[in-house]
Amino acid sequence: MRRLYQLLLHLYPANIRRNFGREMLAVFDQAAASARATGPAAYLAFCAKEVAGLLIHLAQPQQTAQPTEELRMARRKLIKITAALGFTAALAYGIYWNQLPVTSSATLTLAPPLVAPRYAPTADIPFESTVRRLVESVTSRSYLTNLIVSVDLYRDERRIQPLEDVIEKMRANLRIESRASGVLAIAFTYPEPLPAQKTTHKLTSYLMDEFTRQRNATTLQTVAFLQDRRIAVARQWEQALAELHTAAAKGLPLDRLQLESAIARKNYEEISPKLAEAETVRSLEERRQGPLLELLDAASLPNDVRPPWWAVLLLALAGALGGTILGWILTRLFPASTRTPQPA
Amino acid sequence: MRHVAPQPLTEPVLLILLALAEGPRHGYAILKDVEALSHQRVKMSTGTLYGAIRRLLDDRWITRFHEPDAARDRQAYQLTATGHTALTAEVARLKQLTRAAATRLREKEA
Repeated sequence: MRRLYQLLLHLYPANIRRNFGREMLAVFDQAAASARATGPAAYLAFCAKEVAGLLIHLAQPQQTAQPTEELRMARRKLIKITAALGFTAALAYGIYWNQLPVTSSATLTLAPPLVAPRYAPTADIPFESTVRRLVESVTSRSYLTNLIVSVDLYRDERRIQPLEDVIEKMRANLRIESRASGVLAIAFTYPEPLPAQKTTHKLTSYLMDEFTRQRNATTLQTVAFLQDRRIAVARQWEQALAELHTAAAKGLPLDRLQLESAIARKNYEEISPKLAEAETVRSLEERRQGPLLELLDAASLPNDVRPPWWAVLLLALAGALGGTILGWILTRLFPASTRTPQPA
Repeated sequence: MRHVAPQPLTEPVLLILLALAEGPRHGYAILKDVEALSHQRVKMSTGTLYGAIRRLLDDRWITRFHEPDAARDRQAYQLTATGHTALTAEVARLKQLTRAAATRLREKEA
C-alpha cells in the first residue's frame, strides 16, 4: 500500500512533491499504523480513502489561478497511464481468447455378434471391464508418446518441459467415457481444431483395433487353456479305466476305482462342450462376426472461435481508447472540495 | 467599493483552522484533531488535508511553523492573523445561522 501511495504521489506536479511529498508520506505512515491497529476493515477503508483522496485532488483544478503547466502535465500523465492500462488489459484478453482450446469428439458403439446368442452365448462380454482395459491401453505412456510425436502435438511444451509432463497434460485433456448400453464417447481438447480432430480420429481407430485384438487374444488363450484341460482330464480318465480293468482281472474290490473312473468321465464330459463353445467364439472372432466396436460418430472438426490477429489488435486499440476516456473523466469528474475564498 | 460578503468555508477548511486555533500542529496532529472535533465523523485523507493546506498557504491564512530540531518530514503549521480573522468571521456566521434556525423552529412548534 505504501508503494502504491508513493506511485500516486508521483502523479503530482514536481513542486508539490518537493514541498509536501515527504511530509505526506510521513503522515500516511502514521495514519496507516493507527488504522492497522484498529482492525482489517478499518485499514481497508483507510486505504480506499487515501487512494481516492489522492486521485481526487490530483484531478482538481487550482482554485486561485489557471492550472499550471505542471498540473496539465500530471493530468496528461494520468490519461496516458489509463490508456496504457486499457490497451494492456484488452490485449491480454485478446491473447487469452486466442488461446481458448477446442474439443473434438467421437462415439463408438458395441455392435453385437452376428450369430444368434444361443449358438455362441459366451460371445457376449462385460462392457465396463472391457472399457477399463481399453482406457489403460490408450492412455499408456508408450501409446501417447507415439501419438504426440506422430500428430506433432504440444510442440512448444515439448521444447521446454520433460515428456512425462507433456504426457500428463495430454491425459488431462483426454476423456474416454462409457455411456449407457455399450456406447463409448471419446473427446480430446487442444488449442487447434485440426490436430484435435486428427488425434480423436487416431484414438478411435486405435480403440477399435485394440478391442478386436484383446478379444482375439482372450479367445485364443481360452481355447488353448480348455484344450490343455481336456487332454489332462482325458489322461486321468484313461488311467482310471486302466486301473479298473487291472483290478477286475485280479478280482480286487472295484467300488473306489469305479467311482474314480466315473468322476474322471464326468470331468471329461463337462470340459468338452466348453471347449466346443470357445472354439465357436474363436471362429466368430476370426471371421469378424463376434462383438465389435463400430464407429457411430466420426471425429468432429470443432469450430475455430479464435479471433484473427487484426481483431486482437482492434480490441487492444479499443481498450486504449476506453482507458483514455476513463482517464479524461477522472481528471474532470470530481468537483473542488476544499475551495477557499480569497481574503478580502 | 462594493462590499462582498465572504464565502462560507468548507467543513475541512473550517476544521483545519479550528485545529490550528489552539496552536501550531503537525499534519498528523491536525488529522487527529479534526477527527476529535467532529466526533469521528470527519476522517480526512492526506490528499484532502494537504490539498487544503496548500491553498491555505497560498492564501496566507496559515504559515509554516519552524521548529529548531524538527525533521524535514515533520512540518508544523500555524494560523496567521488573516486566517484567524477568517475563522472568527465564519464562527460568527455559523452562530447567527444557528440562532436564526433555533428561533424559526421554536416559532413553528409554537
